[in-house]
Amino acid sequence: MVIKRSTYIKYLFLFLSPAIILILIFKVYPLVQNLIYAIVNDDGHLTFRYFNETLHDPAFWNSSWITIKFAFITVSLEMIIGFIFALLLNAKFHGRKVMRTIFLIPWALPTAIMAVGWKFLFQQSYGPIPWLLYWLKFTKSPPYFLTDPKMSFVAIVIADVWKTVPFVALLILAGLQAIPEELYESMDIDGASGWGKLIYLTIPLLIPTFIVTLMFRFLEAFGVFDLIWVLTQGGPGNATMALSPYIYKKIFMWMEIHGGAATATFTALYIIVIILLIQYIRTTLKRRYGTI
Amino acid sequence: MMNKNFKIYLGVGLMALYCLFPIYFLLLYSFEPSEAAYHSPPVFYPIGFTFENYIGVFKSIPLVRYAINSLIVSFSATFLTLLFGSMAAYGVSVLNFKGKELFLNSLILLGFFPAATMIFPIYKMFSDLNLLNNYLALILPYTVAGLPLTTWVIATYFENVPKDLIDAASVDGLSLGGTYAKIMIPLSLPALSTVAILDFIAFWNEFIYALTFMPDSNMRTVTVGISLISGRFVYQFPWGQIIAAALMVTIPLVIMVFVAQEKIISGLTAGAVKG
Repeated sequence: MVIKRSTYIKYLFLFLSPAIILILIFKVYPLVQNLIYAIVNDDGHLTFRYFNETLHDPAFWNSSWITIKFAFITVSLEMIIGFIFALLLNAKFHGRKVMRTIFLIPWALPTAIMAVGWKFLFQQSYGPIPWLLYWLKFTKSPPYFLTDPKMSFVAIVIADVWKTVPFVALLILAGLQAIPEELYESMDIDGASGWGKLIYLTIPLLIPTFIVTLMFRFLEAFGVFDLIWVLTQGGPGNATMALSPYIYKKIFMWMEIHGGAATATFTALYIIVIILLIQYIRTTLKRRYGTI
Repeated sequence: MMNKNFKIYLGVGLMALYCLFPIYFLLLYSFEPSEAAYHSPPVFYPIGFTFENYIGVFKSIPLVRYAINSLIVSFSATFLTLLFGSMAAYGVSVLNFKGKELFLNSLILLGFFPAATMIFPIYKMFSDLNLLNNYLALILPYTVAGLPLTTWVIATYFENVPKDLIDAASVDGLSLGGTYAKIMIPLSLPALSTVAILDFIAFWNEFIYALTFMPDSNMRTVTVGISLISGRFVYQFPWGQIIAAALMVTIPLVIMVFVAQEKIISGLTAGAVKG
């Protein structure tokens, strides 16, 4: 293909500029502007006051801890249950297509709207879930999901896991289906048991899928907002106040713009650390196992 | 053999139960008279049947208005995302410039930052430009949010178009712009429709921007509108109506899922497995 260099540059510019301009305005600018709000006070002077206040703010550490705990617990549960579901989906049974469609329903429902549904399902006096637990003798009385601090955390975990397990299962299923059938056959010849195949073949070959899924899910869970905002508003007290709702409350309800910006900057920093950590794990595994 | 089959079907049954049990209760209560939602202990099977919730909710909130807002915003943003995403993908995989890795990676990395970490500067900008309560205040941020996955999936698809075809187009006198519009776009309709569905669902479901950039209650999208319904008093929370509304606005999504199941799965896995 013979094209003049100037024409090439012109076209390149033309094709890329809409995406680049939009990203500069709606991603890069807000991140930089937040940093500026965090380090420049209303008089235009450089200050570390807001960073300092954030670092000495127990509510910020409480939110960090809740966010990390939430991301770890939900993503672990999702990976384990999702893996089991993926293995089942990969088995041969009638109605696989219907099952896959059913699996997409929780994923397709808007989180905020489903959170309204959960709010009803979790009501202590008339919600089905507390009573179901009570009638099945898991609890001595219908538990107070939304007014008890510990239980409200359990409630957001249940709601998030419910929505995301099917999605994780479908991703792992795609990984499972990419494993060549011959590998299983050759292990059959060697007389491997079902468990043997699972532990020595399926799981190692799925490591790349696990890591990518883990990364996407963990980063997404770290930013959790919709579910908490609708279901608990971060409450009771601060029991479910993850970082995103905390930033939001600080800025839009308490009008602490600088403090909110400092918290947002730290949250962005967390994200960068998580990405670097996952990248590090990936390269380490790559060195060890080759193809990831 | 019987035994193994039995176990598989038992497992499959449990999975279906897992996915559907909350929806069962929501469907159940949406067709019950409004007092039923306050029945303590709750009922687990139908005791009455009525459409009053489905009719009543249209009187309680401007649901049609919300749906129109959502449709305008989601369709426009999907269109822009496809246009700009496919253009960027063309730049990446056909024009093949130096630094394309950097471009794609930054696109994806920037997509990882939670909306809450950048929402205030955008809010301030829209407020200064008088764009709050304007459809653009959602269309533009949604387009940006959709770009990483869209560009990624389309670029991967473009990579697989034979180079000879592109060269032949240029020999026939098609410009680079013509190759994009007349060769690449028609060829990649399957990939475009896949990402269109994924983007549309994501935009329809979006919450935090819609909550913030549309403070006027007439400009709410369905997702925000429904999650903000409340009764005059806590004790009058109109559960039946809220649930009916929630189910109604998810029907289009469920239909899309039924129709385009294969496409959605392939799009989701292309986006994640290759990442």
